[in-house]
Amino acid sequence: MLAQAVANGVVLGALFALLGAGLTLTYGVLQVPNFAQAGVITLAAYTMLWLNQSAHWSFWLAVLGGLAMGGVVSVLTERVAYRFVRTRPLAAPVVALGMLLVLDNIALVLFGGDHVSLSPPYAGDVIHLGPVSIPAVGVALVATAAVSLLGLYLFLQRTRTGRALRAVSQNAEAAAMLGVRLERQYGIAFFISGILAGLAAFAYGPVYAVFPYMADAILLNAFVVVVLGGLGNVVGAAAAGLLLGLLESFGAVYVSAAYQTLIGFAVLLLMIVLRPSGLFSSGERRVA
Amino acid sequence: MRVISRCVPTRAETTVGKSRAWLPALGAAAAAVIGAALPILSANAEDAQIVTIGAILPITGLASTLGPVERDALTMAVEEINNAGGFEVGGHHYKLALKVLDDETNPASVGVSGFRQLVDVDKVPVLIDAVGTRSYQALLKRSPLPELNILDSIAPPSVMTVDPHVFLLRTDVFGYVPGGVWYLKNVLHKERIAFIGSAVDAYSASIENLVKQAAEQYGAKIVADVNYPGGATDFSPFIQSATNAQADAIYLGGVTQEVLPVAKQLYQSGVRNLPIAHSSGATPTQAKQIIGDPLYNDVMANNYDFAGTLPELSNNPATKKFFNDFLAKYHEYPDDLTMWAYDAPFIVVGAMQAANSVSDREKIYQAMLQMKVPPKTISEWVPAEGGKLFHDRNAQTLSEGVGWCADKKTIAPVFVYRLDGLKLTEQKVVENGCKGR
Repeated sequence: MLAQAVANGVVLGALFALLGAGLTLTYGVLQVPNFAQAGVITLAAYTMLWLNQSAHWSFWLAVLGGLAMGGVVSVLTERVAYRFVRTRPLAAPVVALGMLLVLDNIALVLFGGDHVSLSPPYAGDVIHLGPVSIPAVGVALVATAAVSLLGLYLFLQRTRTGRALRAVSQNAEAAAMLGVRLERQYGIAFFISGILAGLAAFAYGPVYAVFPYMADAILLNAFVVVVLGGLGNVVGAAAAGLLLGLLESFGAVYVSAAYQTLIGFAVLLLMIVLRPSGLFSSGERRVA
Repeated sequence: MRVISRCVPTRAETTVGKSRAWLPALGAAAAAVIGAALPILSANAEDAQIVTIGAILPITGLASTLGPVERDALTMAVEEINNAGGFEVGGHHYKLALKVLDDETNPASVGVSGFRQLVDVDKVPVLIDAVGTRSYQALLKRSPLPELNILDSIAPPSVMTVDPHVFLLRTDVFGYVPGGVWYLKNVLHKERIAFIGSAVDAYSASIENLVKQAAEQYGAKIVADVNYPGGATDFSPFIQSATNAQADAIYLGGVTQEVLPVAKQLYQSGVRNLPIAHSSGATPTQAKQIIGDPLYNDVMANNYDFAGTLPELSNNPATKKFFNDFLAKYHEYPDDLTMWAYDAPFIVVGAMQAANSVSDREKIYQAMLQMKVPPKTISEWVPAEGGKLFHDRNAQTLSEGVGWCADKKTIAPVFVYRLDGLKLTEQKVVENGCKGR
């Protein structure tokens, strides 16, 4: 029972980490609580579905198409909405919620309100490790999160663009004075965030179902992860995602499954009261 | 509130020729003037007046697997009534129109404004409703009219307790859920049942309540009883609760969009040999759409669904014809709810004829209480005493359990039954139902 709870928690945590990383990246560079990320996930998932089932692309090509759509839609949200509230941080949450409604309703108008399934070739497979059973879609989710987050970390640490993003996150004005083009960096941050949203759609879509509000509720857990990990802290988001996933899983098994979601928000309240800068924050704004 | 559809006689039926094209316009203008007094009637060139009935359905939202097909079935029935020439009441000739509003599965706010529109503004003589009746109690008291509910089987309390003017055009949960538990215990010989349901869905809660009662009555044991919170998409802890309790069968609570994702995750988690029972009325079309192709065929292999009788599995030629016509027209599998919805306009017309009025709500209500099963209905209603349609405002059919035929990717009957409380008064276990498919 314990081993199964750990396995369930790791799968759930991987999803939270993947979602949290995208959110924390955009928060790091623009201080925007990017609620629209849920809408980007939805449109990426529908793109994969449409390319696979209507345009008859192979599943993997459809996934690539969905990732590209995620990146493009995410950049568009920055270009048409967030750029106008960069200097008005109090307006950002309202704009972000508005963008979420716009994207969800675009999905509703284009694809309808029905639940539909995104089915990868391994959708029915299950991996048995001794007494533990893990759905193949769960294994794919963990693998996707691990590879994506490692790639993001290396990108931010080892590349010139990644260092520029971190510089913008720490002090945008100073970075601009040193020749970093802010507009470009904002676009890159949102594009990467959109790709992460696409990866979340690929990993999460087959677990449940694709519908216009598919990521709205789960994104709230991702915000818990962002706060827990420290705003703008990618490594913190990954660690916090896993921690939250395990907490929810253990809570469901050893306290009550009915309180699974409550546990996440109880942790959020505790964090805001006891350590508002997050478990893994150094106290500075950053992306890394 | 959006008008989803308006089914009215076609232009060809309502105009006599281009040279007199201004006549209908004049008629419409006259109708608009008279409309303040008789807004539900409008004249056309054939002297057939139009009676508009209203429907509020969950076209979008959580119950959106149910509303659109019910709308289509209502529309189909109205078209058939009109294509057959309409109907006579008190020596006058009428045709039927249908105005459908979407409550977005949010009756408390969206549905209430729809009720006001249809009942107080449009002044429809009869209202057809699905998920909203419980939210309309005060409105019904203020503006009483016969309301036919074609969906809400949640009990207790039954939707009929909301107001004496509410009729339920289906069997409530007492009429079918216990049969599922009886089947698990006595036919599949399962004694350790786990229940997994939704904590925020009253339908799921009413199933949970009855599964527990029925298990106790029939000698089975509920070994796990878990309800996932609203918005949950990862059911692994709940599945783990069921497997940890060593259940030998699982009963799922909720509607199709709740049940099928849980069934899918049960399969993906390796739970493949336990019978999965539910009362969702999921159709093969919905299973394919929500679970995905080709996985759905494997996921559904151990599924048993206990609800109303299905038109496809009926031996009645009229019911079979409805199934084939509906499938051909809308490319959607018509289930029990669809069949009941189709009958609603025929029942409304029958009540108007018996009341000798198309507008007097009280007379139509009284006629509905006493009416016999209308001859053109296809749901094979079980008549009450004296051949009446309603058993104390509840029209009832037999209930049916269906299993899955993996080789044909469709459903087949396994159990046909009728319940009086927890006691089976009619029962027929169907062996090898898939062979007849």
